Amino acid sequence: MKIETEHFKQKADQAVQDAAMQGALARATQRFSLSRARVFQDLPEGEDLRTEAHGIKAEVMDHLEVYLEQLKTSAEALGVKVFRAQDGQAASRYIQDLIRVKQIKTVVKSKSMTTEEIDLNQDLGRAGTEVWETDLGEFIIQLAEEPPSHIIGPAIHKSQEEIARLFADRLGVPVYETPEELTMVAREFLREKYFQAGLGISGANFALAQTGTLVILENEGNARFCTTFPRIHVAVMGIEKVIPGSEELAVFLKLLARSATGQKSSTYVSLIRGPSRSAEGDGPEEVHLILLDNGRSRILRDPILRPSLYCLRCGACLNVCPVYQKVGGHTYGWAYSGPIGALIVPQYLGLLRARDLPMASTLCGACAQVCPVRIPIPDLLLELRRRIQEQGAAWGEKSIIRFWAALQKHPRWVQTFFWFIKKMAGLFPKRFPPGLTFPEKSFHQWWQDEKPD
Amino acid sequence: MKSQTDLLKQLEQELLYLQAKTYRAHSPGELEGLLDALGAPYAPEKIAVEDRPFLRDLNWVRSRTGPGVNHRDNHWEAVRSIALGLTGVDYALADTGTLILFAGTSKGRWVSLAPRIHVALLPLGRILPSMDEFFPLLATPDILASSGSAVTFITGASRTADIELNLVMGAHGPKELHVITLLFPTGG
Amino acid sequence: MDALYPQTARDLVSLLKKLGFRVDFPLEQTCCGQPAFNQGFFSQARTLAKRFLIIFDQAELILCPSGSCTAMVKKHYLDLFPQDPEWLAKARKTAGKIFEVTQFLHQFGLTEKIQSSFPFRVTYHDACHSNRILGIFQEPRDLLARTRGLQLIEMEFSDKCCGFGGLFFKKFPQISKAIGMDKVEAIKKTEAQWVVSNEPGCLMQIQSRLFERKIPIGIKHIVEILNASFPE
Repeated sequence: MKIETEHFKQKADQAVQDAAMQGALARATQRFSLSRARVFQDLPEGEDLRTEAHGIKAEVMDHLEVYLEQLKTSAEALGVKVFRAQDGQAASRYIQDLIRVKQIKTVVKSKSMTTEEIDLNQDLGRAGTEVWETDLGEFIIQLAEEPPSHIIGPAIHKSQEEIARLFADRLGVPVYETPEELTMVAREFLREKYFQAGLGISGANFALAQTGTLVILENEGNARFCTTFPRIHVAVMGIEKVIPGSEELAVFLKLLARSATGQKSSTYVSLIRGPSRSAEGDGPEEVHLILLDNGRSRILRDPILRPSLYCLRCGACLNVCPVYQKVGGHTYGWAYSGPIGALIVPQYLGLLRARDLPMASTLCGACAQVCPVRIPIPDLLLELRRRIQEQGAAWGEKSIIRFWAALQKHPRWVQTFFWFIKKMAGLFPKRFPPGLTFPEKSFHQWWQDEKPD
Repeated sequence: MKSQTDLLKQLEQELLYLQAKTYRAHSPGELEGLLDALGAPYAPEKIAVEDRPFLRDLNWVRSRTGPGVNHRDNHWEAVRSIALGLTGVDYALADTGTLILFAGTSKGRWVSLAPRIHVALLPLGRILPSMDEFFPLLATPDILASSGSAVTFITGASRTADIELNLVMGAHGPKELHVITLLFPTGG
Repeated sequence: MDALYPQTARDLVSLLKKLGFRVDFPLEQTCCGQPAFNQGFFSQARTLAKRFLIIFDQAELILCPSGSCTAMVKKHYLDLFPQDPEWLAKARKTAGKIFEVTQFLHQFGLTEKIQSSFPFRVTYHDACHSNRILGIFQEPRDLLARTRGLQLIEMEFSDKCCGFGGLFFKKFPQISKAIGMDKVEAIKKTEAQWVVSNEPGCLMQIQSRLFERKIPIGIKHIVEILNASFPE
């Protein structure tokens, strides 16, 4: 995907004018955030679970290499082939080699943010492989050749009419008028692909170090198809997703679907324990697990920003963010958006390259309030801001802050400055917020004059 | 400690919220009747059954279902025509309305996945309060061995809201989920 | 507040005196440093923080009519001195004695002493720092309940951000405006005559957006209401 983080401000200003998108975003984010609130009310231990989840993630990050080693051993014992990919290129090459050796023509994919991150589809496409996204939202944006706009609902910015026309154009079907018909189109079309595909690629929400189990959550069933029908299954997972075992898994399963969509549980949770075994009627012959680093170790080594890795990719923070609700996912210019995007995109792509992302926050704290693993996002954004100003403060901005800070050391100059601002507001009202009036005396002046003590 | 009766009530309530249909069969005869009703619209070739012993032994299965699908030779195309999948259930979780199926015992993950209608037969004594009771059980050697290469939690039928947040059932997986609890002993 | 809403500070002095307190206002004070801190200029923020800590070193109790400034001193000052145990100790000491006004009134059992009168329909905006960092929610409502004649109407999502965000509103004006418009819609729906909060920045944003939409609803800082028609 084209990286457009430098154009955040322009894209934001455009997005804010887009009434249709505003409506779609408002409906979606409100629905998800209200559902989340309701379902957490019904889960009395909900807040404690968040603290517990945070603790588990912290402990795992403290010993990540140990858990990854354990995972490798137990997964291999189940017959899973484990590959540690330093970056996207390595992961992509591994999959392309597999495709070449096994002579695979068609690939089906279930939702995986890591594969978005590394532009896997593009690589495979360039090499001549037919790749199909099977999650309905991802399928829609694949046909539309757009990036996802929301972690959980990648196509929520598209209207039904747009989707109907898209299907008609790209799939040669009539222009349907109901979401049921459109879903059936995708269901029928993709079913053929499941039958044809020699390879299924998925993400993984968790991997259990103690047993080598891969865990995949979904609502549609497409991930189950991708991990059952094709002969080979490759799971691409960020290294930070490993957790110790099923006791910890239970904590996260109770939090994840609730945080993402307000459901008590996602429709399907697949615990995959290696390739199919002999008496079983179906399932893949080979299972590969690609553990993707792609910059995660660097974040791991950062004591302040390390909690960025706790993220479960639930999207709860997006749903409550006033900024995201107005600008939508595409504005952020890369795979991740919303508060978590503002936090991790600069860490992956470079602070100065994505500098607007952490800046474009009111630090309202709504995200931290809903994060199932209690990532203190506003505090971490402040740290990113500190680093951005340290490494590459805009000269103009830095001068103004320096001047302003110097001014604040002299109360009398501050009063003069206020007088100056008042005069400016009178002369150039358009450059000031509308509807404000500056009173005659400031409080300092009043206190000095009246001496009320 | 909740009894199986209480757990069943809770399970059925959760399944109701999920828009799944629940039934109780107090006898083999009642079960046959329920299966007859659910399977009536479909010719035998359109019905697939998991390869569990207790399912294979049911009269209804013997008389009303097709010869089965051969997967290993890439004959997935036969799956296309299957409209109803009949499965067992290894365990159920009352607090979320979840059915748990083991690849090792079902011997066919696709039966609960590909057909439009999924009918699940839940034998006596398999309902657990929550996943907190399930995971330790799964870790015991016998059950772990029987679980096979995949343990699937099924909570309701397949759904999506990707088009303007309109809830549509049957995105890829089954559109309808029917759960028949067997209140008489079976081999299952 | 000094330049734009000095009336609020005057009302606070008056209110405190009516409650029997001796009020002092160190004239050397300027800014707590929050704007610099929020933009990532920690070193300038630190300079101003040190200045603040010195000026208020001898104060018994520090009252602040802004939740965000209070949060800056109570929380973020502690982040500014990671390598400096002496200043960190000063910061901790000061953090222990600074209070946002409504929290102060509540914690010191002064809610019942409020005898204000403000016979209007009012809706309350929960400012982000006050609500999420300081945990303020019930305190202002209890205080407004003590005000004779006041009718409190809750707006939808009263704790949703107004879009001010300090310098955010200067750096990303279009987004800020768009967020502010949602807040103003929620306010309008209540049909209140006044919108009240404890945060001058929010009030300024809301005032501007209301003005732009030509909605005849006024803004008041809660301190103004608590001092309204409060006999001497």
